[in-house]
Amino acid sequence: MATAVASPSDERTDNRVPITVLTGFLGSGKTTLLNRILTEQHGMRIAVIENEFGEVGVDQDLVIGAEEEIFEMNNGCICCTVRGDLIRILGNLMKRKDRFDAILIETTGVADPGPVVQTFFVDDQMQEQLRLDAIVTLVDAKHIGQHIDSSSEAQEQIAFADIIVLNKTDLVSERDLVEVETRIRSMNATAKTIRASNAMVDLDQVLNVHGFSLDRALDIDPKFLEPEYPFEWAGVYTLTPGKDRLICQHGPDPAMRVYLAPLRDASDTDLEGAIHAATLAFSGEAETVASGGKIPSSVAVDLALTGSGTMSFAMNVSAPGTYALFTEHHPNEFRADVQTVDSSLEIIASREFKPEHEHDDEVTSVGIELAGDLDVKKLNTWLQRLLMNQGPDIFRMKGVLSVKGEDRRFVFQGVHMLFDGQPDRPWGAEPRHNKMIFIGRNLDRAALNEGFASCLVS
Amino acid sequence: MPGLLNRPTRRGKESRSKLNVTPIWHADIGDYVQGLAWSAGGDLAAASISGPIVAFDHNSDRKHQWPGHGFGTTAISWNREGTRLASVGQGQTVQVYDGASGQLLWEEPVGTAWGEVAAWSPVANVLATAAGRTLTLFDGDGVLIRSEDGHGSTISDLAWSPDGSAVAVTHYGGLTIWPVDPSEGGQALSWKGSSLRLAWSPNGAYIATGDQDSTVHFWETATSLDLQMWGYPTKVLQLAWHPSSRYLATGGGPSIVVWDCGGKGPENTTPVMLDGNEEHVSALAYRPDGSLLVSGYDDGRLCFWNPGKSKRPLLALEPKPDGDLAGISQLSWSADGQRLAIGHANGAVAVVGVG
Repeated sequence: MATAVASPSDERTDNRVPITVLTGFLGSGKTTLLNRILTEQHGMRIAVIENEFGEVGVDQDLVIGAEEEIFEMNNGCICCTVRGDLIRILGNLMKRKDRFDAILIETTGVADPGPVVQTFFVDDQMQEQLRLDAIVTLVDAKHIGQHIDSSSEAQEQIAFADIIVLNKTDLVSERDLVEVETRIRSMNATAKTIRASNAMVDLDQVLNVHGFSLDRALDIDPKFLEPEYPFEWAGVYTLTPGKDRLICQHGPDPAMRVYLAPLRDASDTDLEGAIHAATLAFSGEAETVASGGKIPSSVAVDLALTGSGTMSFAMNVSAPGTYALFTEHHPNEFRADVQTVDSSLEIIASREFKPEHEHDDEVTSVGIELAGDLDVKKLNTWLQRLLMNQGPDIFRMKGVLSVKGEDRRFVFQGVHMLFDGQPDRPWGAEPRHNKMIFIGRNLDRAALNEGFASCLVS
Repeated sequence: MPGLLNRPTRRGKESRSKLNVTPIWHADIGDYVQGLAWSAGGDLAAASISGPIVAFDHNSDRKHQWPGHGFGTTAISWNREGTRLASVGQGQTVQVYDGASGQLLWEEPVGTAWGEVAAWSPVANVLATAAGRTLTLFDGDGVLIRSEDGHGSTISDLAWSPDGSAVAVTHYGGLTIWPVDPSEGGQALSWKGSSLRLAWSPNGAYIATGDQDSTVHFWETATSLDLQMWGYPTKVLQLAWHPSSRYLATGGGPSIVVWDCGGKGPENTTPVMLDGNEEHVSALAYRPDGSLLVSGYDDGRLCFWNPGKSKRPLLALEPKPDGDLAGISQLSWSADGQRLAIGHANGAVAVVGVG
C-alpha cells in the first residue's frame, strides 16, 4: 500500500520533539557517541532509548532500556511494520509535562532501520508529537570492509543514513579512508559523511539536522548527479616516443583496461573531448596486452596484471606531446606509475571519476536529472507501480520536481512505500527541472531513467 | 484553573435535554492523569504519569498521597470492596496500599522494570499484573498464584473475565486467556497484528480489542471466532462496553463508533457513528446503568450521549476558554453513576455530578 503522508515540514513552526536514530555495527562507537552526548554540557534534556540496557538517569537525562519488538501487520504490507517498543515508550514519555529537547534511539548493530523510521510515519500519535530528525550511522572505518559486502544490515544502515560518522579514522590510512568514503558515497549519495576518531563529532552535526525535512529534500551533492564512467582515473602527461612506460604491481584485479588519448594541450575542454572518446573506447572489445607489451594511442587495451613483481608496458606514441591516460581502476590499486627511464614522470593534471557499479545486487544511489515538466498523472502511475514492485528495496528517495501547471517546486521524499510531498517555493527565475534520487538495492538505473523520462509531458 | 464550562451546543435540540451536569470539585495532581478509579466506598484515586498517586475522599480532601513508582505510574486498580489500591509503574514492583490507613500492605516484583497494567478481579481478592512479557497473579496478601512469561512480546493490556475465573492478555500476535487456577493451561487466540487494548463484554461472550493497525476485533469466547472491523482512521485505544453487553463504543479517530452485538452479532453490520468533535476521541465510558455514554476529546471537550435515541450529543461541555485547554485522558463513573471523574493531560482532575 503506497501512502501519502502529510507532515508539518516547516522547520520554524515545527515544535515536535526531534528524534535521532543512531545505527551502526557493534564496535562502531555508538555507545561512545551516546556517552559523549549525555555528558557534554549542551543544556538540553535528552532521553535515550537503548535496546537491551538497564535504566540509568544521567543528571537530568534519561536512559531507557527496551527490547526491540517488531510489529508486522496482518495486511502483509512491509511499510506498516513498526517498532512496538518505541511506540509504547515514546507514547509514555510524550505524556509527561517535563518534555525532552531531543530523543535518541540507539538500535542494535543488526537492527533494520526500516521499521524504526516507519514508526514515525505510520503511527499518527508518534507523527503528531515527534519529528524524525535524522538517521545517524556510525561506521568503523577499520572494519567496515569486513561487513559491507556480506551484511545486508550494514548496507541498509548506510543506505538509510542522513549522516554517516566514519569513526576510528585514526586507525586507517588516508588512502583506505578515501576508498571507504567512495564506497559509501556510491551506496548513499545523499548522506553527509563526517570523519571522526573516538566518536568525536560536534553535536550540531548529528542533532537537529532536519534530514527528513522536505525543505531540504534536495540538499543533494551536485557531484552525485554526475554521470558514471567506465574508468576511475585519468592523468595527463607529456610523453616522448620510445621513452616512457607504465609500471604496475600485482593488484586486486587480474586485468585493467586503459586508454591513451592524445591531447592538444592540458586544458579542461580538451580533456572533456578525450573523456568522450575514452568512454566510447572503453565500451567496446579490447585486445589483451601482457607485461612487456605496448599501450597504443587512441585504442583501448586490457593490461594483463596476473604476473608477480613489476610489470611494464611501453607507451607507444608516435609524436611527442600531451597525452591523457585513462585507467579502469585507480592507479593506487596497482601502484601504477608512468616512468621515463627510471624516474617517475610528472603528472600535469589528474582527475577521478565516479565508477560504474560492478555488482547489481548491492545498495546504490541512482540520481536522475531531467529538464521539462512532468505529467502528474503519469508520474503517479509510474511511482505507484515502482513502489508496489520495488518498495521493499527502496530505502530512501528524494526529489524536486517540475510539475506541469504548478508554479511552485514540488518537493517530496519517501521511505520504502511511504512518501510525503508538497509544493514549496515558486520556481521564479530558476530554470524548471527535475531532480530525483533513489537509494536502494538492485536498482535498475536504465529502467529508472527511462521510467522517469516517460513521465514528462510529451 | 482548568475546568469545564456548561455551554449549549450549536444544535438547539440537545440543549433542551434534562441532563444536568454540575461541577462538584476539582484538583491538580501535577502531571498527566494516567489512572483514575473510584473505590466502592466513593474514594477517587488518581495517578500521574510521573509517579504520585492521590486518593481523594468524598469531599475532595486529599486522604492519602503516595509517591508511586520511581519513573512513573502506569496503572492503578481498587479491589472489589474498595479496601486496597494496587499500582504498577516503572519501578519493578506492584504496590498494594490499604485504602483506609494508607499503609503499604505489600510490594512484590512483577517481572521487569516497566509494569503496564494492574487489575483486581471483579469477584475476589486476586490481583493481576502485566509487566513486559510477564503476567503475574497474586492473592490479596501478595502470595504468588501464577506467573506466565511466554507471550513472545510485551503485554499491552489485560482484562478479567466478568466471572473472575480467567484473565485475558493482549500482545503482538493476538491474545492469551489464562485461568486463575494455575493447574489449567492458557488458551491462545492468534492473529498477526498488535492489539493495544482489550475489554471483555460484561456477559463474557466477547473479548473486544483495539489495535495498532486501526482495527477492532471481536473474539467470540465460546468459539474463538475472530471478527475484524476496519475503517478506523487511527489505532484504537478506547473501548467501552454497554452494561447490557449489547453495544461496544470505540474511539480511534474523531468519531465514536458503536457496534451492535445483539442478535447475530456485529459481523456485517453498519455501526452507529457519533460525531461530536473534529478532535480525536481520547476517552469513553458508559454510565454503570447504561443510560449515558460519555466521551472525552483531545481538546478537552466532553460529550454526553444516548446513542440509542440520538446521534447528537445530549450535552457538550467545552473547556473553559480561559483555562488550560488540556485534553481529557481519563473518564471514570462512580459505582452509583451519580458522579463522573474527568482526568486531564495537564494533571487536572474534575468531578461533576450527573443528574
